[in-house]
Amino acid sequence: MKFLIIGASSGLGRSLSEALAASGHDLVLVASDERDLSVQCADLSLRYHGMIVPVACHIDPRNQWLDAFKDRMSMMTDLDGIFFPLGWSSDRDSVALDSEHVDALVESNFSAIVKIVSLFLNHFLARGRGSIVGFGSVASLRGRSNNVVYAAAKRALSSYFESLRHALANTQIRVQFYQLGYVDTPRNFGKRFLFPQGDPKIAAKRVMKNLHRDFGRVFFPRFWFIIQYVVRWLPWRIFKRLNF
Amino acid sequence: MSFPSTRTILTSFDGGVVLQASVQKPDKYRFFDSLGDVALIPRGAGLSYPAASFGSESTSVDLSNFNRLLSYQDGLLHVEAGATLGQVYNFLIKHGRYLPIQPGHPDITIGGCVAADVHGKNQLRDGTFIELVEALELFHPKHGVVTLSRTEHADLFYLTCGGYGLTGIIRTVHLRTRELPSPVVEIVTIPVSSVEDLEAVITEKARQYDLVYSWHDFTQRGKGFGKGFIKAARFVPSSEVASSFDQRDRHPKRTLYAEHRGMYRYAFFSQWTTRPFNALFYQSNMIGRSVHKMPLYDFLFPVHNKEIYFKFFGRKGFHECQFIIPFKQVSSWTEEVKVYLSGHSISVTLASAKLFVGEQRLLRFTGQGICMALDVPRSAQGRLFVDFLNDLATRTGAIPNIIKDAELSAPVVAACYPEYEAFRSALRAWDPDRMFRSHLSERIGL
Repeated sequence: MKFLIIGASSGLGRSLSEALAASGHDLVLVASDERDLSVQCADLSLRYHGMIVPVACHIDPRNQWLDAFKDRMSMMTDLDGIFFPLGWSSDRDSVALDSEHVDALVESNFSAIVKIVSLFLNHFLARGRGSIVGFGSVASLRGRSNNVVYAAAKRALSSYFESLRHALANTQIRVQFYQLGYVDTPRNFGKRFLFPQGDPKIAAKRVMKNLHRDFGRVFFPRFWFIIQYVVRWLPWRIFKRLNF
Repeated sequence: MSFPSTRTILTSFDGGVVLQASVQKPDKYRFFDSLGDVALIPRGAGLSYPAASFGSESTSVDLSNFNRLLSYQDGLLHVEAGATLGQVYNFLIKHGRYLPIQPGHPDITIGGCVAADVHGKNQLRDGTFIELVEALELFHPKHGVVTLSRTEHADLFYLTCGGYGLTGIIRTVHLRTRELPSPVVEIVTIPVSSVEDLEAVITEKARQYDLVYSWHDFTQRGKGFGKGFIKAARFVPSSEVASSFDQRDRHPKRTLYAEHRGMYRYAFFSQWTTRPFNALFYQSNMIGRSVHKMPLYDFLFPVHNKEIYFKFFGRKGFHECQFIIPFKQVSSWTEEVKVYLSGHSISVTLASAKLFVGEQRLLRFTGQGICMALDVPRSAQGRLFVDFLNDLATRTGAIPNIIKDAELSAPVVAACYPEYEAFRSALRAWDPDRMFRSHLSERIGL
């Protein structure tokens, strides 16, 4: 099978590309930095048998990334699935943010994914099968004073995947959405969190195992399924005093 | 994108140095574009016995995410420096190749092997790790990326191989691999009645076998001091290896961490327990002394799955010293150690020897003689014993291994390494600001 991974050179995307390559799949890996991408592709090509194709693409609302991306993807007519383990957050993300940051956060965490899904949807419909896998964040469970635009974009993404699943309910196209808790990625290195971080390798294995299941949305790590209720139902009087 | 930095407690593997240090763990090449004027030190698996990969004033750059294999052609393997020996082994064995020089644990990184110029199980035949390095890519914030080899920036190449990470960050390494005669070795255990017999026997066996090391019991007193055995292995011809031999990837999960070594508060090893422990270990090896076959992996990485040995030293840890003792001095060195130990209750938990040849250059642990490693539990008495050994080294012309002893002093290194000053000067000429510093480099006056 052949899969497209957007955000393949870091964290969960890297683990996912490793797990899929180890299972013998062909991959198209998309990441922003050509240097990271080329070593990732070299490694997977060397160790596994599938064909690994690198596509460098920096998703940035200031440049015309989608046109270049479309050009590179025009030959990809045989994809079996797309994974979107990408996202970007900023330490400056608060309730009042400059428009450049807002655009970048929304593009990286939401609108770029919608644009790419839209690009490939007809392809999957024509094939009558496929997998579209998105990754959200528990940050979007309830709005806080931190990561404001990021959380909003991820909530929008969650809603989009719900709609997508609804729209494709009568097809063989699987739409899955993982709500990620804290994951042990370089971005989180050294940070202390209230709950343990999940291992991206375990997450990748789980995504692989679930690939053909029809479940809509799940949490990773699993215990966030319980914590989500606590976060959502926490009385406002208490929630407003929390700083996390 | 910024790369988070954290202050954390880091521990040298022997437990001798515990301090708070800054660490960054990047996974993208753009990290190198962003480095400014801060003191740095590269960090691989963090398994060095001394604090070679951290220091209180330096930011450790954890390279474990730079662990990919980049290309393989005509026996030449190009890898990122964070790739581990276990990863490389698993890849090469499928191509009928291997690295003939490997230290004892698969979690050790290639970058670490280059920086410490480690040795393997037959230094006489194979030399040290530098022999496997065809070229490497070094990054220094002031110089950018420099490709080093024996023909390109040769002086810097020799300074970096065995340079303890002080010349910059080794990003990638081109390795010369060797054809693997077979993935199985045949092992013979040869008893050695006393350490006096060692030199003759190990010299003979190192020429006959592919891989050789010895073990000795230094808790014995009198004539039996240093009683032990030599483990010698040779490759079994491929035709004799059963086709059912398991060649699946070994060691998928990391098993050795400096931070976990001291997980037990109290030490198992003491003057009461070490002697029976050694006796038991000796007997268990003597029982199985008939010729037997073993996967090469298990012989190359004898410490793998026996990590408990290091945990038995408890939170305080241990001292490990390793010396290349000139052939002419082996008898007097042994005699002095024997006399010292007869008058002190020191629990030597390990004494292991290998045969070394080669010219000693810069700060690389090479030279002619018997290489002897000793482990003792960390204590005041143990420290005095180590001081005695270092003093003995300066008197006998033995060379101490900088990457083993976490408290080796600058005067001892300067006295034992004739090119200490040359290394120091060359390092300053390359990096006048001394951007790359570690606890080790500060301690030995670099």
